[in-house]
Amino acid sequence: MQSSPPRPRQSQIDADLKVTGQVLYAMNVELPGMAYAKCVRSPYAHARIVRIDASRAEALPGVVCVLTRDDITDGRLFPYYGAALKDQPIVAIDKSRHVGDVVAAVVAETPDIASAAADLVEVEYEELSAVFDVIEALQPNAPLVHEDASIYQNIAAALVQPEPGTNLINHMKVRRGDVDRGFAEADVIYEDEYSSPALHHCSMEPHVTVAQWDDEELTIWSATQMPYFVRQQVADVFRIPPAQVHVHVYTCGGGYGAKTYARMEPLTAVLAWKAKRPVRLTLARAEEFVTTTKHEARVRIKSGVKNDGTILARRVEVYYNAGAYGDRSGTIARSGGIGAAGPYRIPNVSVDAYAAYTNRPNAVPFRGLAVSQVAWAYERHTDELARRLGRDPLEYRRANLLVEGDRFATGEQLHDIHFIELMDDAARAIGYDDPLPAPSSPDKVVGRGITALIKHMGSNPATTTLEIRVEADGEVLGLSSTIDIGQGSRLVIAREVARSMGIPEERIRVPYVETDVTPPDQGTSSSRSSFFNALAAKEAAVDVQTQLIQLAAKAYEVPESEVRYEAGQVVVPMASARVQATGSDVEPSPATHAFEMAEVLRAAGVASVTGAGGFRTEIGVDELGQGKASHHWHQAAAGAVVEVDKETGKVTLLKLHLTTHAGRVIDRANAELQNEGCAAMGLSQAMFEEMRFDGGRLINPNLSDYNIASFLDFPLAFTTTLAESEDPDAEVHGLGETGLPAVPPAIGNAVRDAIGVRVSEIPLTPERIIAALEQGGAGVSWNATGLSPLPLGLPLGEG
Amino acid sequence: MTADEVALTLRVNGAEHQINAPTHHTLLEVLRDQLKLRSVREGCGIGMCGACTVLLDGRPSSACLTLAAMAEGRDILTVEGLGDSANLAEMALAALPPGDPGFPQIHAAADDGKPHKLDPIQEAYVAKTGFQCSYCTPGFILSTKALLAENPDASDEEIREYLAGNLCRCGSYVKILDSVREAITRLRG
Repeated sequence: MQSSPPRPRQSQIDADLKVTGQVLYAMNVELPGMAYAKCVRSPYAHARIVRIDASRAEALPGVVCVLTRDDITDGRLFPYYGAALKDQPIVAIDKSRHVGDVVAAVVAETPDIASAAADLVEVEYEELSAVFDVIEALQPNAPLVHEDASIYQNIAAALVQPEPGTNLINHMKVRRGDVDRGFAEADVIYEDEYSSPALHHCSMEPHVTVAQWDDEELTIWSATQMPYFVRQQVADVFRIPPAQVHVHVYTCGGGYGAKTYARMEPLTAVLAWKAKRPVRLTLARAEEFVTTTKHEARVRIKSGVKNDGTILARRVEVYYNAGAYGDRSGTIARSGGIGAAGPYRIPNVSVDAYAAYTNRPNAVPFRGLAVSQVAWAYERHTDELARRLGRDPLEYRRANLLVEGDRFATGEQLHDIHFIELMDDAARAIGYDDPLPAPSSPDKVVGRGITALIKHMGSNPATTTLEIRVEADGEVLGLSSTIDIGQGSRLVIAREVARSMGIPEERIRVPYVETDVTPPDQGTSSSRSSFFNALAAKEAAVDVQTQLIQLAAKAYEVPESEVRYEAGQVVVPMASARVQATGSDVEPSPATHAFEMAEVLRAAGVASVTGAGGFRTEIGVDELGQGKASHHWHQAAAGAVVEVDKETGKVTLLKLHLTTHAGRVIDRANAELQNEGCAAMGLSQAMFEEMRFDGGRLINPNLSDYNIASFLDFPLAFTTTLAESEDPDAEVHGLGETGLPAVPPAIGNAVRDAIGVRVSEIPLTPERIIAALEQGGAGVSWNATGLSPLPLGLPLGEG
Repeated sequence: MTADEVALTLRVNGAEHQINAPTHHTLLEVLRDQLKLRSVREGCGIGMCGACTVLLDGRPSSACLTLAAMAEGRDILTVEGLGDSANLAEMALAALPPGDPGFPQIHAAADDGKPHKLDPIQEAYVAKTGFQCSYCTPGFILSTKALLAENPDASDEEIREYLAGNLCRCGSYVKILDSVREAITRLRG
C-alpha cells in the first residue's frame, strides 16, 4: 500500500470551507444562459386583482418574460402549493391577501433589469376590508381571507380541519380530567393574559432558488430544509412524477424554519418553465420579512390552586395568527396546544389552541415551534401565581414540576425527565440564593427570574432514512438528506456512521444532498435530525455488514455463519482454498483472515454495497389531545438577572444561563453551539425583536429598525449547561430548539422581580416597561374593540 | 461598455483587475458577481449586519454601501486573500457528490496545486468552532484581522465592542469570542 497524506475528517473539510468562505450555497450556482427573477408585490393587505398589464414591462430591453395569473390558470399547471392546505397560489389569482403578496414575477437578463421591469408591471386593485387581529378574525362577519378553506387540497387532513366560511384553520383541544370540578374545588383562582409578536426568522442567507428545465426534467438548487417535500410539491404543480424533479441542496446559511416546506421553489420552477431559460430568484431582505414570519400569539391562562399551592386545574386558550396562507399553522396550533399547560403536575387540564387566517404575512414554522408563545405565557403566569400565594418562584416550581412517572396533560406517563435538576442548575448558575447585586444607581432596580420548559420532539409522526455505501475503492459514504443549516449535520452523520461501522471517522464522506442520491427524509426541522440519523445509521450498518458477510461467504466459499464483520474488516475462516489463493498477507497458521471491506467487494466482483436504515416514530393523540404526543420530551431551564432603569425603562441583562437536557452528546462543540444559539435567539426575542405593523403594512422591514442581538447585547455572564446522560448509549436529545423558549420568560420573570409589576408582552422594550409601571402591570387588552375573545359557534369545551 | 458603466481598476487580494461596472453597482456586486469572490455576501443591504465586510486599506467596510467606483485606488482584502496559496476551487468541488453537475463557474484567487494553508485567524476559528452556518464568518474573520492588527492584545470588552457590527443569527457569539482569544494567542506565538 503506498502511503498517502492523512485524510481529513468530513468535519475538517467542512470547517475549512466555512472559514475560507468557499462553502457552497445555492446563491453560488451559475448556469449558462441563466436569467434573474424579481417579484411584483401587492401594496394592499386585502384586494381583488382587477387587471394586470405587463406590456410596459415586457417591452423593456432585456426582459425575458413576465408571469401572471393568466399563465397558471389555463389548466396546464396545478397552480397551488402548501404545507398542509394547498392554499397558496404560484402568483395571486383572484386577490392579494397580504401586503407583499406576490401578484406577478419578471425574468430578465440582469437583476437590475428585472427590478426595473417589476416596477413597470401595472396592477389595478380593488381594496377589500382586511383583518389583522387573530381574535377579530374569528368573530362572525370578519372579512374572510379565504372564502372556503375546505376546498383546498389538504395533505394533512388527519391533523388539520379548517372550518368552511370562517378564518379558522384548525382548533386543537386537550382535555384531561374535569377542569370545572378542579376550579370549583380550588381555594384560589388566577387568570391572566399574555402576548408575543410576529417575528422575522432573519437567516443571514435569504431564500435563493435556481431552476433549470432540460426537456421534461427539472433540476432545482435551493436554500431549503426539505428537499423531498419541495420535490413533491413542485412535481404536483407540473403534474409530473417526482422522479423527474431533481433537488440539490448544499449548505443553508441559516434556516430556523424559514426554509421548511416549499417557499420560492414552485414560483422559480414555473418562471424557468415559461422563460425556457434557467432562472435564479433571490429575495432581498425587505422581501424576506414578508415571506415567512413567526406566529404572533395571544394566550389566556387560568389556574385553580389549593392554599398549599397544589395546582388542581389549568385552562389555556391560545390563538396563533397564521397570516394570509395556512402553511403549517394547523399543526403548529396542535404542537402549542399539547404543551400549553407547562411542565407541571396538573390533574385537570383544558386547552383550546386555534390557528386563524388574517391579512398579515404568512406565519410558518419558527425555531421553538409554537412552544415559545405558550412558554412565555405559562412561565410568566406560574411566576405570578407563586407570588400571589406568597411563595418563592423557584421553590413553588420545585413543588409542582413533573417528576419521573408523572402523567402529562396528554395522559402519557413521562420518563427520563429532569425539570427540577435542570432548573436547580440554572438557579445555581445565576446565584439564585445569593443576595442580589446592588443596583448601579438609585433609579435602578435589580431582579432575578427562573423558568422550566417542556417541548415535544416535533413532526410526529416522522421518518428518516440513511444509507451507508461502501465502494470497491474503500470509500465509505454516509448518505442522508439532512441539510447542514449550521448544526454540523455532516459531522454528525459521519460520526454516527463511523461509530456504527466501528471505523475511523476519517474514512467517512458525507456528500451534499440531492434527491437522486441521498435517501428520502421528512426534512431538517423539529430538532430531530441527529436523533433520527443516529438510529438510522445503526440499522444501516447492520444491513451493510450483513451484505458484506454474504458477499464474503460467496466469494471465499465459506459458510456465512463462520464469517463475521469487525471494525471495517470481514473476518473469514482460513480453511478455504480460495482464501489461500488470494491472501497475500497470510499470517503463519492463523484460524482466520481479516479482509478489508474493499477487498471483499473486489473479490465478489461488485462495485459497491449499500445498507439502508431508517427510523420512524408512530405516535399520536386523539381528538381530546390524549395519547402519546412525543417519542421523548425535550427539557430546559433558564435563569436571568436583570437591572431595570425605572426612569427610562431600559433593561440591562446582567446574567443569563440556559441549561438544556442533551441525553447523549455526539459532538460537544456543535451541541454547545446549538444551545448557545438558542440562548442568543431567546435573549434577542425577549429584548428587541418584533415586527411592527401599521394595519397590514410592516413598518420595520430592515435590520436597522428590526433589531437582532449583537455581541454587545450579551451579558458578560452568559453561560450554558448541556445536561448529559451518564449512559453512553442514551438517546440523543435534539438541541436545535429546546433551550430557546425557556429564555424569554426567564428574562421576563427577572424584570417582574425587579420592578414589582407584571409584564405580559415581549419584547421588553423601554416603552413597555414604562407602560407596565404606569399601569401597575394590568397587561394587555385582547383587542381594541373589547370583543369577546372566544370564537363564534365553537363550543367552549367542557371547561 | 455602455454609457452608464465605468471602467475600474480594482486591487483585490493583491492582484489588479480591470472591470467594467454600472456606475451604481456596489463593491459587493462587483466582488461577488464579476470577480466570483463568494465569501462576500449580502445580509441586509444597508450596512447593518456585516456579512459583506471587506477590508479597505485594512479597515472593515460594508461592501454593500461602497460604490465599486469608490474602491478604486484602495487595497481590498476578502477572505480569499488570506492564507497561503489557494486550491479553493478544488476544495469546494471535492465536497460535491460524484456526478453532480456542480458549479460550472467557481473561480479561485490562484491555484498552484498545493494544499490550502489557513491564516492563523482562520485556524483559530476552526479550532474553537466559531461558526455554524458560516454565512457571517468571512465578515467576522476580516473584522478580527483588522482588530488584532490595531490591538493585538484586545480585551474581551474591546473584542465585543469592535465586533458589534457583525451579526450572527445562529448565535455563535460565545465561540466567536473564544476564537478571537485563540487568534490572539496564535498570533502572539
